[in-house]
Amino acid sequence: MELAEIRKDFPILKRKINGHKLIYFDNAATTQKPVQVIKAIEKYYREKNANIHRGVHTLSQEATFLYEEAHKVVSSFINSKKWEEVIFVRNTTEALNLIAYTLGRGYLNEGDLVLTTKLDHHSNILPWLLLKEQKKIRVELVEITKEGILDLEDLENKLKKGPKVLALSHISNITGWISPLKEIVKKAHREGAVVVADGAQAAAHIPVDVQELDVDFYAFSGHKMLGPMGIGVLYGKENLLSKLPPFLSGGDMLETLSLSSKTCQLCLKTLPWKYEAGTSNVEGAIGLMEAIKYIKKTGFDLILKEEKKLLKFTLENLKEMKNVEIYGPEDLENRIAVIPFNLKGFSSNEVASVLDQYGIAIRSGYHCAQPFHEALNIPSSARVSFYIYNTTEEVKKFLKVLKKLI
Amino acid sequence: MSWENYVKLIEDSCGKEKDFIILLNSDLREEAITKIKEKMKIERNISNIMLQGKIFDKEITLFCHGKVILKGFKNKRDLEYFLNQIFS
Repeated sequence: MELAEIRKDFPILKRKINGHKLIYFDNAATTQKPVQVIKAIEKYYREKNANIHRGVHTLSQEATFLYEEAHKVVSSFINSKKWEEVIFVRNTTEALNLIAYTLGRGYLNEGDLVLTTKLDHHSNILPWLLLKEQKKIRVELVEITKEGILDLEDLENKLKKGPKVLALSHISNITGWISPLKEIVKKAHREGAVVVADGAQAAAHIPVDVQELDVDFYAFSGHKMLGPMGIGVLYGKENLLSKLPPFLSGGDMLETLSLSSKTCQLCLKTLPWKYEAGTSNVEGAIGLMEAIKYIKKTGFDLILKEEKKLLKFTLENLKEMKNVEIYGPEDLENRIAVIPFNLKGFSSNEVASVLDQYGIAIRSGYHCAQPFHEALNIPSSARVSFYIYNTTEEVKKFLKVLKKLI
Repeated sequence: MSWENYVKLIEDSCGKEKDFIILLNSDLREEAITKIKEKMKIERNISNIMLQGKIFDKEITLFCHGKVILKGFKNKRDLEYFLNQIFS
């Protein structure tokens, strides 16, 4: 696919903001949606809308087929052994909370150690800290280096303490650093820990193979990979998920609830339905399925090539600017196109607001990663993050506006 | 008119800076900007894109497209009292 063709698929890019053509550089927060995804959702509501698993009528069966098909498409996308290992949730945050909650109830005991990291999003820190209070477990955070990547030496040392869980991000939402997840999983398993990976920033940018990574749990969101909001994925190994207790309870996750039965008063459904209580987000699953098809059609080779080009060009130019402080690793090989920075004399919100006047959307603040900012002793940061529809011309305009502040 | 007529949205940002970001109502934007400028002690003008300064010892940054960043408030109630003083 050509870049110009790709841009045509994103209707929002034609929008003007404050009289300027929209330049969207906030892709680590959420990506824009191609027309294929928008149309798939509209088609579902126009032609197939029904509640799933609960009807013998045609609409219900068609919706059920699509919803189950979406699990299979996700399974193939991340190469899980079985499609039943794919659980649909609202987003990465819910997936991580689900797994912390179920591990807390069915796996962790008082005094057990959980490791997470200072590079992680609050969503992969807070559930464990809350569990610490409830279950009297211990939680330690792995340090980060001055470069804003994980301190692998500190990780190794902390792994030697024999944690029961290691929770970490596959790719940092602040610096775009790609962790050596496969090697980390191997080491963690050797020490007896299960590994929970936050893949929110990875799924749209690099190929993810959960069998190759041998990761125990892997979470990601649809909206950060061209899909709609309100749909996310928790992958878990079947042998672990089948032993753990459910998260939510209610409709669609039970085989039987018979108060008079002597053999099975309460029998849960098998995977993935045991973890998908209540009416499902069918439109979200269909949108996500379409988004995955779009990413596959585009290809990770092109996505990575274009992102690297923009990352290199932006970093080279930012480094030449006075008063700009950039964070993140120098090694671009293990980094996706996410760049946090600050401009001396301006808060990150001021920088983002000035850019907004010119139609340029970037992020400012903590990016839900306060421990990272505290570790590097920075109050907050501005962050640009690119995706497949961004261009060098857009970056040039961004740099031009930024120069007005210098 | 109440300050609520001039303000479309108040967002409190995360971070140690604890900024409040105010989006002015576009229908009354010019009037609101004039009222702010009347009370604002301008310390820095960045190419007419943004003005940094103070009102009643509170740090304020005014953007010409109708956004305002305010710093140094304990909570939203303090901010609302401040907005009332500016726009009343």
